[in-house]
Amino acid sequence: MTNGQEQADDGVHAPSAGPVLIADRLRKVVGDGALAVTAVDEVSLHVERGELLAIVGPSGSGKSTLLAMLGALSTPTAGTVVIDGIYPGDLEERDRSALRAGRIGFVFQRPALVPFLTVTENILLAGQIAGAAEATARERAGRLLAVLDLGDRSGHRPAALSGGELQRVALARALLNDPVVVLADEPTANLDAERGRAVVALLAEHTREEGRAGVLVTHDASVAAVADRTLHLLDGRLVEA
Amino acid sequence: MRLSTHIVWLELRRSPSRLVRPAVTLTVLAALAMVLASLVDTLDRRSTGVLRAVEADLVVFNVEARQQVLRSRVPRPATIGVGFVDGVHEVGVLSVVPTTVTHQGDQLRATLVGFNARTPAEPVRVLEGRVPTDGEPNIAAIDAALQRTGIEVGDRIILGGSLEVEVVGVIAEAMFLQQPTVWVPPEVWARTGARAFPERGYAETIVGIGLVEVQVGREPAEVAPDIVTELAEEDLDVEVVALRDALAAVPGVSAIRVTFGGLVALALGVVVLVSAGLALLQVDQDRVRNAELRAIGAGPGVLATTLLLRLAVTWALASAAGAVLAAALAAAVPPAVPLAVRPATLATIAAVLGMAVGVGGAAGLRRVSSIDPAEALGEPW
Amino acid sequence: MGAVRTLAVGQLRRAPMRTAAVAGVLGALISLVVVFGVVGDAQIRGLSGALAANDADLWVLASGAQGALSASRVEPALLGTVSAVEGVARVAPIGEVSVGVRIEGGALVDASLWGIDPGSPAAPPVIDGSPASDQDQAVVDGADAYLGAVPGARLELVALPATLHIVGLTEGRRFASIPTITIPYTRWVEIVDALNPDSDEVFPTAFAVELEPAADPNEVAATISVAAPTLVAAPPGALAAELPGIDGLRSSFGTAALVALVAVAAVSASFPRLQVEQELRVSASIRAIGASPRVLARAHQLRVALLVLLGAILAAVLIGLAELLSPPRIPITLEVRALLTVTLATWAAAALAARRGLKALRALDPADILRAPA
Repeated sequence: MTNGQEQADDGVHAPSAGPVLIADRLRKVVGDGALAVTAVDEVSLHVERGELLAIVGPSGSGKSTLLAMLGALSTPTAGTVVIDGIYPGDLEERDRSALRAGRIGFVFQRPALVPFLTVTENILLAGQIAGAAEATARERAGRLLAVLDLGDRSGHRPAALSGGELQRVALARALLNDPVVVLADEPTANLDAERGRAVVALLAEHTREEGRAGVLVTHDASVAAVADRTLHLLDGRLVEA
Repeated sequence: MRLSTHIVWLELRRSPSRLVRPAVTLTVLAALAMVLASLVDTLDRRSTGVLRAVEADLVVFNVEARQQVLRSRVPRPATIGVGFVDGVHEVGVLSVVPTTVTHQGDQLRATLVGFNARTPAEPVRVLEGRVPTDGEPNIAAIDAALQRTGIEVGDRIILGGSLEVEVVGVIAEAMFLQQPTVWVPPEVWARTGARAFPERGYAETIVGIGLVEVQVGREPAEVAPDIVTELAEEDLDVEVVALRDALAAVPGVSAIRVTFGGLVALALGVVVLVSAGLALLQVDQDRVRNAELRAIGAGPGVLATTLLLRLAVTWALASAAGAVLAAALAAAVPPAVPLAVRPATLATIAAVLGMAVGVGGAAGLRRVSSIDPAEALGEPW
Repeated sequence: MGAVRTLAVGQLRRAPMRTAAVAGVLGALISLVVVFGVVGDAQIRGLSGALAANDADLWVLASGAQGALSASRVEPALLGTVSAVEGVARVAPIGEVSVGVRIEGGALVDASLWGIDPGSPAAPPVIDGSPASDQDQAVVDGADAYLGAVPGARLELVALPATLHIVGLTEGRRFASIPTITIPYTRWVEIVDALNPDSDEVFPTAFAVELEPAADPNEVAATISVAAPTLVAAPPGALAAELPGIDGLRSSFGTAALVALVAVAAVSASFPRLQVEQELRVSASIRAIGASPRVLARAHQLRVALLVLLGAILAAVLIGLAELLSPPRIPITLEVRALLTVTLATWAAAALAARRGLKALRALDPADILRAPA
């Protein structure tokens, strides 16, 4: 790997000093020719260990596009992302998958859990994808279920859960592999205010206590208030609040 | 692979309908392909059973017969000459003629087969009793297809409306041109043929075809030209072909093979399309979930392997159920319908179906492998 | 209707790959069933066409032949007996034998040589050229043009030094799946006699009978059997249906077509259902914005009909291609009537199956859209 970066699948992860997540002058252009749209333009940010950053903006402001680049889901047109010292832009697709599995936890707006797997199995699936030892993953899944108040739902299938419970399962799945970065995309969008606050509080708590870097994308200022810091995105650019 | 197997196994156990429903669609097509293949197999065997009943390497026709068993006429002394050709182990004669069999007042169409016992012309699989030997003009053996009409060993039947014989044995089904067969010594064949076809000059000195078994270690293809040369010296133009080629030359056989072969190929083409359609629908159905799995780190290989395993399970279920359906249909239809199911045919079609499903599923594999993990965020890029 | 059309067409256009896949599957299955019918009919015509394609009222065969023309030999003397039967207007001999021929010096082929005089009740209608009236003339079937059998071409009988010239074409007159050659009966007798030097006499294969206008074919047939117990008479169409092998072939194609129809029904039923299930959420959102269940149901039925229509168009293209590319021995033709029948049957099966999907659509709660998906 160039620039002395660590490999995503090196198996040994030495915590790096400074920000865990860095975005430098990110730009994303979507479409070609006359139809080209700049969805994200010159965005730079960083997130420290134990810090929860909120990115707030109206619908269509480029929040999800930015999150996709921060989570190594898509590659920027220009600029760089560094996750725990790793440049995902330099990685092959296979290594990028391994990076996401091992070091990034995702919470989606509408978690699409596997319908025929139980809550526990859905959570353990993240461990199986990352190649984690089964015993360790089971032990950690059990702990997460207890902490997230899902102990009595462990054997249920997703269809039997409420929206809030589904989001907590998604959070447990995101945290199973002890990721250094947790990214949440509008995690409260489908929940009532009380359940939404509970989920975000859990996210903030786990980010801070476990020393992760968290990014929360939302259009709701009250949800963003839980974060340590808030950035505003408008038409793809960061603006002053 | 382990993860994919785990997922598919749990899906099969807990949400079987997700796999069973496409399998039902494929089952009907599997049954169709199996029924078609069994039809062509049965039609083929019921046209060529006489030649399949014997164990010979080569068949000797007179040239004018153009490899037609019914038309072939070879002088009996010439067949004796064949026995002296270097590389020939044994030679026998076999002749056929259409006839009728009257049993307890009922008259049926049949083919009369004149043959030399204890030669390569003797049928190999005797199920009951024995076959007549040369010089036994008043007895006959029937094949299993004729036995199914109610004729048993010990019964007396009338051949060609006038010659009464006693049935002394039953051989395995050996039909010719879709007709059951009665096996008699060559002289009975000549007598019956002369009565039915006065212009053809049937005589005991004439036989239909020669059946040759070559010596162990000799290649039939090497021996065949020597037989042609030997008989040419006796002023007889013959054609000597491998038994397999003689089967293909039976009237209607190549038409059946080409026609039904084409239809089986068409049915398999449909299987490819249906598999592609099912795979694409499955990929579309699970797109968001698969994008999310990609986002949390599953490689495209995991998704592709999972889809492949689902298709494999669908294929296995469809093949098994299709085989059961085809066998049930074969058991339900009247015996006149040429549909006999053989395990080898079903296994071959199942294997070819597997390939067709694989080819069709490739469309889904490409699509599932190209799922963008960013779609999990609802972004198309 | 506007909303229904917009929804139905929109859903088809939104997922072109899926639409193409479903239409492709339906098209392939429709073409399969149509081809079964067409090829089955052609095969049966190829086996028995020579019997069916003539104007004789009755054919008389040897009763011992059990309807197998190749096994039938009738005493020439019985021609007078048959002629004397009340209701019989005319009787003529018919001869049939298999021979090897070379067409215009080309490849050697098996052919069925028929001896039928041009004025015989069984004389085949000639669609091009003239009937064979001279000793060296012959008519052949138009289906064998691919072998070079066209008016003006030369036919050489390989076992004899005999040459015939094609002067006319018949239609649908193949026999035993091989080409037919029709020559005057007396010429046929000469050829068979020459082919069988040891024979004393050449017997006709059958007699062709033309009845008096008011005569009842069944009554006359029964009288013939009484007058000559070694003979049996039947209309040529009935004899054609009874030829050896016809029954097996007909039941084979019938069984195959039946299973293929079941396959069409199963496939055309399963795909619309899968699609309804896939789009329940989209449907819920459309319900939420005020569309009635009836609009959704009609949109779904319209989409099913459009898919079957697309499938039928594709089937027509596929059969057309098969007609162009298949070897002449597999006579595939695009029969519009058969295509329409199978398309309607497919649409009926799909529409019926879609009704089960419609239950799910009607039961949809518009509020579903507000719930998180599992």
